[in-house]
Amino acid sequence: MEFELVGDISRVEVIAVGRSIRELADLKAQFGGRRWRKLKGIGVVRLEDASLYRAELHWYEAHGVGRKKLKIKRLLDRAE
Amino acid sequence: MIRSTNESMVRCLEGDGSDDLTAGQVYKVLPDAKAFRHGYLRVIDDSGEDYLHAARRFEPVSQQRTKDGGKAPEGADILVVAPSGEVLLLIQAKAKSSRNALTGVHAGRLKVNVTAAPEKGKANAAVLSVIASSLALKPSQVSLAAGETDPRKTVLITGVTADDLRERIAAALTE
Repeated sequence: MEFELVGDISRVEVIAVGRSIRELADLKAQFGGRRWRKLKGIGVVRLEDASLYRAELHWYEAHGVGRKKLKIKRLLDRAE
Repeated sequence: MIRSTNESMVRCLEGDGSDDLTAGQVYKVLPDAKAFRHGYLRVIDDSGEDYLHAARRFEPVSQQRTKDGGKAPEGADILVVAPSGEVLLLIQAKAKSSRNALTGVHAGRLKVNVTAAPEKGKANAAVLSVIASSLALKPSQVSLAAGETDPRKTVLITGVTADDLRERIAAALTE
């Protein structure tokens, strides 16, 4: 894992659903699931150098599959 | 070891595709000084979007430069030799063009123009056909490795060496 999520993700928004997702075919092949959604939100992450940052996170989820491919889109500011 | 964010292309050392990185695959890097200070690179990964990934997972892709430090010579950066010996050709495809031709090298990619429209794989098929005919290869030697829905594609070429392919590309571009 390249980073660790500390706490919950807030300000969650859906940014793509179904066929609007570029990787839809890969997600279905890899994890199954039907109605995939791509989401974004703000969360605190512990980076590999142990620093804590608020970051914009993107990930995919489908009903019954859960959060997949959680990735950092950008670092926002330091979290204390 | 990545020493600066000036590297424009990097090769992934570890990855199984689970987080959109595949070992051995070459990726483009965008500048992000803040992320780099904490050991991360902004990489355009298999998802087609840029995300932060740990820099330790990449190595720089050496780029041949001319003696005066200018732009890379034609045919130098557009090829990546896989550990298996197969050659990957990085291309920038342009669909719905006025002609079918190789038109030059730009930003480390061979520009391939095709008249076909990008629908139902027509342009992809045309791109492979143009590459095969322009470089005197059999159609079976040319296949699409990545970028099915992206103008920036990676084409796998078998049965020729990188040096041979460079000569063929140079010859095709000077015609």
